[in-house]
Amino acid sequence: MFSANPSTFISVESRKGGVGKTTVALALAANLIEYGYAVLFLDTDLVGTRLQRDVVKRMGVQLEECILKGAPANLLTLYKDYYLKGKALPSLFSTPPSPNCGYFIGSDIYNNENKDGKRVEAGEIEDPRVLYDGFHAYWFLEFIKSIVDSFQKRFFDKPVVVVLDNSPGYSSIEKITHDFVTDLGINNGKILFVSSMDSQDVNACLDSVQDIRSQLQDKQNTAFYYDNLTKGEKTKKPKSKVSDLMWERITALDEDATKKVIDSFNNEITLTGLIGMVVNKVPRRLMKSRLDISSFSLSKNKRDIVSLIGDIEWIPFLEHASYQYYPQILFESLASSEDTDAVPSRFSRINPQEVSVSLSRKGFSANWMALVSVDDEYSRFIDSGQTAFDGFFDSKWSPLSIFRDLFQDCSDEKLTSVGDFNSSHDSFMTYLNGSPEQLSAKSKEEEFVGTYLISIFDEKEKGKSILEQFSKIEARPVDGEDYSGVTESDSPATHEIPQFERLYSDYLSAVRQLKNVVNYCDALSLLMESFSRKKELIETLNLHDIRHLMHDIISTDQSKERLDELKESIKDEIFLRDVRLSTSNLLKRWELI
Amino acid sequence: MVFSLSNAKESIDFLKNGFYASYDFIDQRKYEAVSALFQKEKLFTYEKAFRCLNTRLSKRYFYDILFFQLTALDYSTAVFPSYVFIMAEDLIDDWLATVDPHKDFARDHNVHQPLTASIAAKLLGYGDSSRALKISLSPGNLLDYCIEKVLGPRCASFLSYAKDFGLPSCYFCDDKSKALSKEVWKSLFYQSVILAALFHDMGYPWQYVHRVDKTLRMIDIRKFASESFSADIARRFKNRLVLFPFQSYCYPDNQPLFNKEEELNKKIEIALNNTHGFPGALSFLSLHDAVKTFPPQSTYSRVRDFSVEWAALGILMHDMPGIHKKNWPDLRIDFEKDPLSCIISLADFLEEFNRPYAEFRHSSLNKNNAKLISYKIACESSSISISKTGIMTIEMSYKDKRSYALANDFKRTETEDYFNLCNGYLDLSSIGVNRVEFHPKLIK
Repeated sequence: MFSANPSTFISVESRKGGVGKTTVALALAANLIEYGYAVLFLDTDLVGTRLQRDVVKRMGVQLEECILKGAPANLLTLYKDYYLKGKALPSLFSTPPSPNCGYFIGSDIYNNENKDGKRVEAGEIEDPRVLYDGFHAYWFLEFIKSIVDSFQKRFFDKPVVVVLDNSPGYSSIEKITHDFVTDLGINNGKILFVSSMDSQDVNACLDSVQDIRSQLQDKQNTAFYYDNLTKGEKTKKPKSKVSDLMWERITALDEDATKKVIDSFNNEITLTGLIGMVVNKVPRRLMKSRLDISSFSLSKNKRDIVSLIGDIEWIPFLEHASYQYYPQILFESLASSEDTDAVPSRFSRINPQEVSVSLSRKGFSANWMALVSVDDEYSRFIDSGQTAFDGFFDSKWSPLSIFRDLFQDCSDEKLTSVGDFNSSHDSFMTYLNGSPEQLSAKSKEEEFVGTYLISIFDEKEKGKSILEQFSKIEARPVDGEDYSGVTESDSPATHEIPQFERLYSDYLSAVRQLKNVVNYCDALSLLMESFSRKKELIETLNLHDIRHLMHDIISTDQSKERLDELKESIKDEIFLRDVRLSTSNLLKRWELI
Repeated sequence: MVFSLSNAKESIDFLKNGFYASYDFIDQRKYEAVSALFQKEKLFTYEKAFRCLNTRLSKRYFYDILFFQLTALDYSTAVFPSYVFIMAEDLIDDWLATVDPHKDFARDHNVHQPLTASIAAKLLGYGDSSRALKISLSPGNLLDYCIEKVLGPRCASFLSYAKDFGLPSCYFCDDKSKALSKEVWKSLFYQSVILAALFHDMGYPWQYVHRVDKTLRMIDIRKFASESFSADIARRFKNRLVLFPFQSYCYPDNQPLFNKEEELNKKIEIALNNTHGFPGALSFLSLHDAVKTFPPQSTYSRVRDFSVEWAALGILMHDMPGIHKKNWPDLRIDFEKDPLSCIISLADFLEEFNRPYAEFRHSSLNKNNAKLISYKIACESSSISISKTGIMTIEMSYKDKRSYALANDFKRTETEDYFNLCNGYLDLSSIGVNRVEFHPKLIK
């Protein structure tokens, strides 16, 4: 307690499961590694899925897994078999250390064995005691501190950041972590809340923010009170449980240590320096203008809390990535709400053209919290032949619609920052080596292109037809050149020329775009292979290759796996770009990068 | 100042504790070893104990137990973690006593102890001087008065013990920072009082065993607490606060606390054989020793440790009126030499409300002539006030005539034993009380 631990602790938490906590935590780690930190990523989500090496790799985060006796180290096993038995912790970090200075340790309760030597099943699990038993939670944190100490010794010449990927909810570990982090102060302690757009979830996070705020306030008041007493001045003693415990701790210290604590609390406490919040999985549409989080709060004073946290980062979800909330329901509920004058719109900062109705409080929360499985919804829409599935999966697909959409979106302000498509190769290379700032400009383009590409993959047959069209029009040289190579039957009739011209124009744009697309697509696949090969491929790609590649992807049965792989990697990569951008903003605000 | 169940339930929030506390003073290896032993022996779990109680008791009484026990458990996680190992047995033991049809004075410590804690807390204003019981002497309230006495000349031995124990320097400031010392002692005192009140009757089963033993001794089979046993205890707990009263609260010049071994052993034997306070205090300390770190890891844990030692003293002294009267007249306590024990004894005396008793009656419908048992609450509330002329008035309200009559008899005698100005166990003259009046009331 109050020890001057030079490591920085970032506790990533959520009050609800599946909001993307691990993804955000990994993105934080990725950014920190990029900026030269030694990062220790601890999967303290004890009841969640074990963090797997391939997930970390797929997310493009340079973390190496800690190995113990030839198998991946497990935090809970280490805790039980070493810490609780009073044994010294084994060496966890490889020698020589990983060049990226990043390690992670997973945890998995299901890997433990029960008395009969069988794998522990849900229901007979003992270890989550740490989650509700105060002693175990406290010891678990002490145990983590001892791991961090050994990490610190290994990377003594580097700034160390520890990322704790916590369990959802509010377990004893979070409670004790908050206490520890608020003791560490804003220089070395950070708490990052990840929330979905569910109002209940947001409110739960804001409640926790409020708790931490009062904890800090109580500690500060107690420190001041103590200071005053030593000077012979008496002020009113703060009364709260935190104050009492702080009082106990502070009075047990020697003079120098006490002075240090008082000094650490002497500065003005800014929650912005300590707490960050990320709202994840925000529909793209709502991202066009930034949302006001206070509009999600059910009580008015939450606005004050929001102003204390400062700006909140928003991470959009890619429509194709998995998500739990089906936004269409929200829009329907918005549109159908009749109670227009009950309360002002909760989306006051959203483009009024998008949401022009006001909502009743009741209607809002009821619909907002509806949980829908997107897969089911999608199937239902497709099966029923409905077409008005706007924005997410376009069932009115046609080759031209790709171009139409392309042009529409190209003219949209979304893509204006991308610049000339011909230079996209360069910008793509920048992207690969890019800093988060540069990512910012690219991420929108990539998201769009990725979406487009996936929509092609999703419609194989239609994809074939567009390829056929490509084949027909590809042979057409630029204006003023020979038409050779075009068969007679393929040659456009005179009366079709305007259409042909239009198609050709479309084609040129599409090719520009497609080149970009395929570069991107291939680059993503090659991320999993090697950088040099990717570079070479990108440089040598031409129209023929593109067509060939797409043809391969679309028509070859064998390519199915590759297709899936690509789709997955595109999803992950695009999502990671967004997350990394948002988290890097947070890290900047915390002055860590 | 009025004390009643509803009052206590409202104010018992003071016991609730979070997990912010440091558990530096607990050795995880020892704790795990005791846990493993419990699992191996398949001892009662408190879930099971609560289930048994739920089956056997009236709903109201059960929920009183549940509420107070869970609150006590919550508090104990931070200050006396080994409680978790005795709680189930404690509950079961009380349950057996409560439903025993052969006893009309049912055991109720599961509720009585937390309620005593609530009274002690209220007397001390929940740690806030401005809310504590007002007294006529300076500084005008019980809490500040106690702290003044702790830092006063008659507690010099106690203070030197505390210093040797390793309490931080802020507990022994002079002059300018004297206010700081008072504040830190205030917190420690308050915490220790609550802790002692919560566990003051934990030695009760021992007393029961002793009663059986006494009967056995009559037919000369064996002696329960023998001389060698007492000597063993003296050896184990020598130089600890809990044996202070046996040496007239002396701790001269850091010399070994006891030099008259025989006399000490005799006193220990008497205390063991006649009270539940002493065995309770010893069990309390032993349990804590079973899980605490040694040597202590930090100053912080020394403060917590000291709190347990001090609470053990309170547990010991709350039950001494009996042997004070019979065997040991100089055991009388006052606020100047032992304020903590005085508060515990006073709170224990005042906690009469919500204590159940069993009523047995014949059922006219039952041919086997079986008895029906029903549980009733005797005392509804109690109150204490001190007038400016130094008269302390204790009032207790009873609902039925039987309890009222018993109180008039039994409680009056007890009042005399406790508060007689000349030879009562508790010398209240030190807080300006020159007479204690007990008024039982019969209410409709």
